[in-house]
Amino acid sequence: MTPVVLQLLNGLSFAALLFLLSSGFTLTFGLARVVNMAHGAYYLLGGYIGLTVIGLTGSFVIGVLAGGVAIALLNAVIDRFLIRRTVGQPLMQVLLTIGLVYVIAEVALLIWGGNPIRVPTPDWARGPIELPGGIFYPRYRFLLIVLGAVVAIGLWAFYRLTPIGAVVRAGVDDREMVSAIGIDIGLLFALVFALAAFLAGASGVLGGAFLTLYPHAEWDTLILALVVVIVGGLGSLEGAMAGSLIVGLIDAFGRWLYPEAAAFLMFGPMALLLLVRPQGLFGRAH
Amino acid sequence: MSMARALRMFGTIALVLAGVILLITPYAGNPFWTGLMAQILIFGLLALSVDLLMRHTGLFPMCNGAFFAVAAYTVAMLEVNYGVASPFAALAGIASAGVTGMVFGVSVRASGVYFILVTLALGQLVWGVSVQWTWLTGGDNGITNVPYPSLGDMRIGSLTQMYYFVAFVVIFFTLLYRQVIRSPFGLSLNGIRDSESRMTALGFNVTVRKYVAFVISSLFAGVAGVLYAYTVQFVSPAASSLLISVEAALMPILGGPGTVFGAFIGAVIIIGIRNVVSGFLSGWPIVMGLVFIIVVLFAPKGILGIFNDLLRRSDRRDQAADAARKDVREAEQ
Repeated sequence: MTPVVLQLLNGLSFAALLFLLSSGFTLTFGLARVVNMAHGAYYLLGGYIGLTVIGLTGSFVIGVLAGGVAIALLNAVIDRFLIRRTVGQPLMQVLLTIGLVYVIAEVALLIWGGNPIRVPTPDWARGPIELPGGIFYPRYRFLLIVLGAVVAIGLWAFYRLTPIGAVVRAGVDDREMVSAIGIDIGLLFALVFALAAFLAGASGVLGGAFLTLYPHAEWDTLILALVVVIVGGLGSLEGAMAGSLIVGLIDAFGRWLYPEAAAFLMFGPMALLLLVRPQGLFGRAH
Repeated sequence: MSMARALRMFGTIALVLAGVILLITPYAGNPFWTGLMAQILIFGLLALSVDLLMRHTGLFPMCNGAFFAVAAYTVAMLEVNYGVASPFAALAGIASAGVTGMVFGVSVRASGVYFILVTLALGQLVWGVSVQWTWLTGGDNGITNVPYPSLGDMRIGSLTQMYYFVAFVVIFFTLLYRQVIRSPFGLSLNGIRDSESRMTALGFNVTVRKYVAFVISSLFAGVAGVLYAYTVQFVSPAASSLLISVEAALMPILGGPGTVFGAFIGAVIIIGIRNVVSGFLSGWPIVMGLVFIIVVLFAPKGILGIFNDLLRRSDRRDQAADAARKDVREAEQ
C-alpha cells in the first residue's frame, strides 16, 4: 500500500506545480485570447532569478517572490510593446512568443550556464515528514501540495466569489459587452496577465527546488502546461485543476509502472480525449 | 530607368543567380557549402509541407518536424540495422511519416489555437520516443553512418552526387506541390481557410478535406526527412526537436506568400543563422529569436511580400507619371 500512497503524493505534488504553472496560462487565454509560448521561458528565468536572490538574501520565500515579481515586470514590458501588437492573430502571436523563448532562454544560458542547478530548499522544508500511517515523505514536496491546494482554492474563490472574479468571468464570455458597460477591460487584462506571469516565475523557483533548472526546461515546461490546458480545456480554471491532477498522477504512476514510456504516457489520454471531446474537459469550442 | 523596371530586373537577376548557385555550389570547392545548400533545399521542402496547412488551409501545424523525424529514423534504421535496399527504405520512410500523419490527423478536429497546441504536444510524443527508446533510436547518440542511397550496383558515391540527387528530388516534389495547391482540391483548401462555414454550406466535407491535407503535408515532410537522413548520414533527437517544426513554420512567412520560392528564401535565412552565424556567434539563438520577432512585427508579408509591395507602388508611380506625360503632350498639341 505504501508505494501507492507515495506515488499518489508524488503525483499530487507535481500536480500542484503544474497548476501553479498552467492556471495563469489558461486564464490569460480565456480573458485576453493570448497564447503565450514564452510561459515556459518565464518559468525558467523566474527560477534562475529566484536562485540568485536566494543566494544573496538567504531567504527562500523572498526568492520565490522575487522570481515572480521580476517576471511580472518583464511581462508587463513584453505585453505592452510586443504581444499587444499581435492581438487577434494567433499564428503571429505564437511565432512572436516563440521568438521570445529563443531570446530569454539564451540569455539565461549565457548568465547561468548550461549545467542543471537545483534551487536550495530552506531548512524548514528539508528532511522527511511523517504522515498518518507511518509514511515518510519529503517535507518540501508535501508543503508544495499544501501550497498548490491553497493557491487553487484562493484562485477559485477569487474567480467564482469576488466581484472582480465575476468581471473576469464576464470578460471570458464576452469582452465587448464588458467594456461596453464601462469596465476598463485593458486594466483587467493587465492584472490577470501580471498574475499569470507572477505564478510562472514563482513556480520556476518552486519547481527548480526538486526538478532543477536546466537549458531546454523552457520547452519541457511549456509542453507540460500545454498538455494540462488541452486536457482541461483552454481558458478554464477548473480545467487547469483537473488537467494538472490528471497529468501529475499519470506522470507519477507512469514513472513507477512504465518507466520506459514515462515521457509520453500523458499524451495518450490527451489524444483519446481529443477524439471524444476536442475542446477539453471543461473547455468550450473556440 | 524606372524604379519598377529596376526592381523587375533585380528580381530576374536574383532568380537567375539562385539557379546558377544551385547548379554550381558543389564546385565552389568547399563541402561545407554543398552540405549547407542541400540542407536549405531539404528544409525548404519541409517548409512547403507546413505551408500547405498554414497558408493554404488556415491550420498552423507544430508537428511537421515529427513527420520529418519519423521518416528520417525509419530510413536510418532500415539502412543501418537491416541493410534494406534504398528504394524500399526510402518508401518505408515516407510511408511511416504518412501513417504518423494519419494518426496525428485527429488534431484536425480541433481548430484555431487549439490545433496549434494539440499538434505541438503530439509532435513532442515523437521527440519523447526518440530520446527515451534508446534500444530503437540510439537515444541521444542517434543512428550514425547512414550510407548514401544506392540502386543495385548504382551507388551515390560522394556529397556532390548526393547534392544533385537532393536538388532533383526537391525540385520534383516542389513541382508536384504546385500541382496540388493549384488542383481543385488545393483550391477547396483555400476556401476552407477563408470560411469553413461557407464551404460546409456549399456541400464540402470540411473535416475530411482538412484531414487529407494534413496527411499530404505529412508525406511531403516525410520526403524531406528521407533526404535529410541520407544527406546528413546521421539522425539524432535533434531531428525531432520542436525547433524544427517552429523554424519550418517561420520559413514560408519569412520568405513571403504567393509562390513556392518564399519557403526556400526563408530556408536560406534560417538555415544560414543555424549553420553559419552559429559558427562565429555563441549567442546565435538570440539572433534567431530576433528574426522571429522582427518578421512578426515589421515584415509579416515576408521578403517577397515587401518586394511585391515595392513593385506595385513603383508601377503605380510609373503609371501616374505616364498619364501626366500624356496629359502634357495632349495639352501641347
